[in-house]
Amino acid sequence: MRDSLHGKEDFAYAIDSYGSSVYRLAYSLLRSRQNAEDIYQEVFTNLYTSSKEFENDYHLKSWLMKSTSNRCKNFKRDLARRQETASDMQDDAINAEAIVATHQNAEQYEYVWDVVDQLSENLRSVIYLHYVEGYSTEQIAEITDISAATVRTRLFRARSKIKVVLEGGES
Amino acid sequence: MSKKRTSTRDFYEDYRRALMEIKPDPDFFDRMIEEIPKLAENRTWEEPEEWNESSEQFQSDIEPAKYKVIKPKKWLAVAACFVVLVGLGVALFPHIENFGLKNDLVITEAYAENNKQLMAFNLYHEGLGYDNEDYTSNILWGEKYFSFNFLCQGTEGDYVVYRFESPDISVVPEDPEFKSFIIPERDDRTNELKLPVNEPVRGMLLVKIDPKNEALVRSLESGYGEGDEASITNDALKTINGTNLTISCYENGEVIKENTFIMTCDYNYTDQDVIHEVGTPEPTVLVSLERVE
Repeated sequence: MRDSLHGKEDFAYAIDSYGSSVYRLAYSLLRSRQNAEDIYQEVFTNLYTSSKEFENDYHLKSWLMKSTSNRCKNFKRDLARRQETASDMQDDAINAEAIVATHQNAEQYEYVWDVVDQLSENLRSVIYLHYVEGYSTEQIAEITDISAATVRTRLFRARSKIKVVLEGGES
Repeated sequence: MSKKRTSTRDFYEDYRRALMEIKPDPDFFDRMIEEIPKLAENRTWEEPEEWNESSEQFQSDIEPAKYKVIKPKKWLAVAACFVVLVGLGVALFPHIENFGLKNDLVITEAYAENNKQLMAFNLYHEGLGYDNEDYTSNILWGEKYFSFNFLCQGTEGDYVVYRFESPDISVVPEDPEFKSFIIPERDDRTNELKLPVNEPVRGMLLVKIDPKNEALVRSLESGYGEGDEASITNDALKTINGTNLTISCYENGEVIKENTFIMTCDYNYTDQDVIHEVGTPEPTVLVSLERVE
């Protein structure tokens, strides 16, 4: 990674290196392929037009994760504001199920999405960043603009909830 | 749920694998490399103002600007400012110290984040208790009680014992998955938390909520802070208020230093400094522990 993004070459590098992470985070938060693609497009369009300085790969990836997380948050908020929550969320849920069904080993992982769907967006976000991207609590704090202690709290709550759901209890 | 696992470890591995299988169309990334520059060049619309609400950082993220190279001179200027600020800090330190941080007095600060009863508090104390600005803690709602996460460190003797003298407050070790921290030893019988000296220790302080307060319990059980947050906060603070906390330093099995503090707290909803995520003012809670002579 260069000191900053310069032109299409670096832009392609950013997509090649972190496109999958952006897409997966957006999908994990929104649970819709179409919405994940929209967020992805927004994030990288923003990256392309921005002159943000990046000190290294870690900085670039953190920025992308933060931008993705914030845009997903705004997307949901905007959705709720437009009073379309009920019908759209139903559509998204149906959409998500259909997508999962097209994946290889979809059945094996169906229970995973059943559990994830019971987590709030804040909890999904920290779980994704910690368990999939491997970020520490301090790094997640930087990305999500919350304190490290709050990250630990959310991880604790997410784990507790996951455990309860896995054990078949009420969430 | 079609399949249940009892092991959370299996779940996290499956979660990771399931996400790895989430992929867009095979040509999606290549298409984006081609299309996004065109989209960016043709973009004539501006993002709605409300998109900028999430955080100041996000606002800066979406501001268009030119590529810049970080120049050494800028760092030199930053370093010079830092040196000046440190110098001022050293010069003013005695005054800062008198601003509440004196012997045997622990000041805590807490806030409820996003109206979800998340609180953080910082404690400072010489010899006993907490001693680092990073030792922040959270409070979160749980089943019928709030829990404060806290990190503390004793600095005298062999170990330090924290004892909250209230049947409505108990202490438990934090999630053992946080292996980077030592798990404190808890005595169920005496409701004491025993902490090794000079090791940062993470624990959790549970504050029971009045079960007769149905709205409050319902709100807690919803798990998302729905309901009357102010009432919940009030209830937790009411429990904390007046509770004695005894901190004891032990050496060779004997108490070498012991202080009892009475906990008092207050909060307000007007502090504009503590704004998170939704951009709304959130309650700032101040908890103080005053030594009981």
